[in-house]
Amino acid sequence: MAVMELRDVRYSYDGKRNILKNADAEFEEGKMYAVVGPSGCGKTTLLSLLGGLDFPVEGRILYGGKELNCDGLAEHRREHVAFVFQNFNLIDYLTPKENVSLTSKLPPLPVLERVGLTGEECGRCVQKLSGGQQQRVAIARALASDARVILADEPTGSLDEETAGEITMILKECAHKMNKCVVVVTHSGELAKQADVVLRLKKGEIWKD
Amino acid sequence: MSLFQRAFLYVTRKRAKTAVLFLLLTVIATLVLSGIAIKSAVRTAQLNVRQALGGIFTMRQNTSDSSKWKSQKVGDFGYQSFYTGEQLSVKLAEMIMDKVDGIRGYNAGATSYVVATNAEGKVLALLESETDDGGLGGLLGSYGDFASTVTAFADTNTEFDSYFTGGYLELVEGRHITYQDTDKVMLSKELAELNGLKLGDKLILRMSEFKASMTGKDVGKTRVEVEVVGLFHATAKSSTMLSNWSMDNALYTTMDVVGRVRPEVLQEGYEKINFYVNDPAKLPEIVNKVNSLPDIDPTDFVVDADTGDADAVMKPLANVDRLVSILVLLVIVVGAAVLYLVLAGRVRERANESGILLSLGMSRKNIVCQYLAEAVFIAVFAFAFSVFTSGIVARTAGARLLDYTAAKEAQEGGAEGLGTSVDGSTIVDSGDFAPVFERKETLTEIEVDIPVSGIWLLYGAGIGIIFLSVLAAGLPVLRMKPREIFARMN
Repeated sequence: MAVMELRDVRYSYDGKRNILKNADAEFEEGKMYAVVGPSGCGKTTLLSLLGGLDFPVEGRILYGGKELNCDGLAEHRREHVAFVFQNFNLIDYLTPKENVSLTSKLPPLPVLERVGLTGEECGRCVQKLSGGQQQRVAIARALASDARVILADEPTGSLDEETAGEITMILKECAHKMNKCVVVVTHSGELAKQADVVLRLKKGEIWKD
Repeated sequence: MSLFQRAFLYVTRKRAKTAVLFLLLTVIATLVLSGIAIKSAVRTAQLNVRQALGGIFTMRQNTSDSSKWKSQKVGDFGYQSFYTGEQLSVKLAEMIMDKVDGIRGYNAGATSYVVATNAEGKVLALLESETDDGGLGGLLGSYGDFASTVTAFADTNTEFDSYFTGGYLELVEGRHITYQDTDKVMLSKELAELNGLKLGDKLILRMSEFKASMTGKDVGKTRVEVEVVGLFHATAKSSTMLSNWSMDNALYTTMDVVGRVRPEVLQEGYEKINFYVNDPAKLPEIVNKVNSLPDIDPTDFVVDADTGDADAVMKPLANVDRLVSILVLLVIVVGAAVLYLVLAGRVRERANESGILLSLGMSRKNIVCQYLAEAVFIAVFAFAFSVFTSGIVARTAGARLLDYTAAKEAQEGGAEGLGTSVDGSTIVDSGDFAPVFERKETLTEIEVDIPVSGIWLLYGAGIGIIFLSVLAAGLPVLRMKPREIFARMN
């Protein structure tokens, strides 16, 4: 059963040019989705609509079968979805453990260890961690929030090939072993290949490969 | 993790930023608290001065009626004018004391010049002062024992003598003299030591031979034996026309004694009566009551409240009060503006962090409250620290400001009346030959302490300003749409 659905969604910044139109899609738990397409095609817009950061001009967005409304977006962000960003977006004066604790519903240390961080790394300043380690912390933060949907925007965009591969595998595990719905916006062909479903954005419409 | 935990971690880990805000708040709080402390001290000083100097009114003879003046032949030398109107007397002063409430004491005084000798008749050795008499002293030295005369004040109560109430003289041994005393005298401790005198010793006061020869008197008949009952000390330097008339050589006694030594003084009576009221604020009301007494004929007496002394001291204090008020206001306005700019800058540079917290589902209110908690947390310590720093600053700045305004006041001519003259000296009495004291610094010193109410005000107003500054600085975050934040974060 789909955990999130888009139903005939239209989105426009200025009311003239549609970024998304007639967009329909379903997202299920236990699967990793890759959203691909050229720059400016609306990938990030799609992610922000799913994450409750914005609201469509027309159409409906459903979570667990219930339609999202404007007033409930903050709660949707807090309870149902978690973000992973290209530039990690960790709070720089907090340790990995404290970053994970920000909205954690689960004990942070086991989650951090699960994504591959040692106990010593968990107590370090995040700025002293490598890019890959920081992205692991960001993923751990998303997992610890116990959200059913993880939305990742170019999660491997600033990482080297080897580390990108490792992060891809962790995201895949999140979907397959932890039964999360992982939606990844990416330009990376390698990452897209690992996804269970690839959604291609063309001229504002969503095409499923 | 609660917003308070986040705030605590930010403050303790971003030490440089914390230190900058701590220093800024300490400087602003120190300036404000110093200003409040100086203002408070100045107000207390104003009250004390008003209490000490402001509550005096003076009664004098109304000598404007020429028909009350009479000429009299004096010895072989010529004529002298005498005022023949109603005299100022103890009886008159006591009547006013009885009929008008709110007067705590009075002193009627007259000044004369006598020769003082010890019990064996040897003229007392006098203290030399730095008075520059332009050679007058040397010239007068040729007039017999004129150079040995000393100032003799005939007071009804030396405790209320203006030199004593003004703090220029203080009793160091023995007691004060009142009109009820018989043949008693007070002299300076320094003069007593120079002549080996102590309390209980006898002195003889007499008219100078020069004066006696002028008025045809027999010096022997003007001798009055008096007992030393009090010793005083001058707390400030004074200057007189002649060195032998200096305050250090002066004597205090009663009109009865002076009248026997110099009968013409008794004939002229007291020069003035100073009345001291309990509450300076009621001075005009009391003066009106005295003036309306049926026994007080305005053609005989003039009653006026002279606030010259108080004004002379009050003006620098009032200037400091006004200056500090402006400075405090300026510091608050500039401080609030600087604080807003610094906090706004900090919030702006933390837009990414705000975005992260918003993306994690935290409310805007929660985020702004974290920034507020951080600033308040630092402010609590900065304000506490400023209590110590402002103590030092206030004491130094208060004294400097007072010196500056007092000096400026002196340069500009000071207050009118009997108060401060251009060179900063103070004339306490109005006689032509009255000693002129240098400004007594203690009258314009201020005791600066940080008032507890000032600390509460600082915390209340300070945290209020921080609250408004953080709220204003956080407005961009509060207004930011999640989508904009998301775009910024990418």
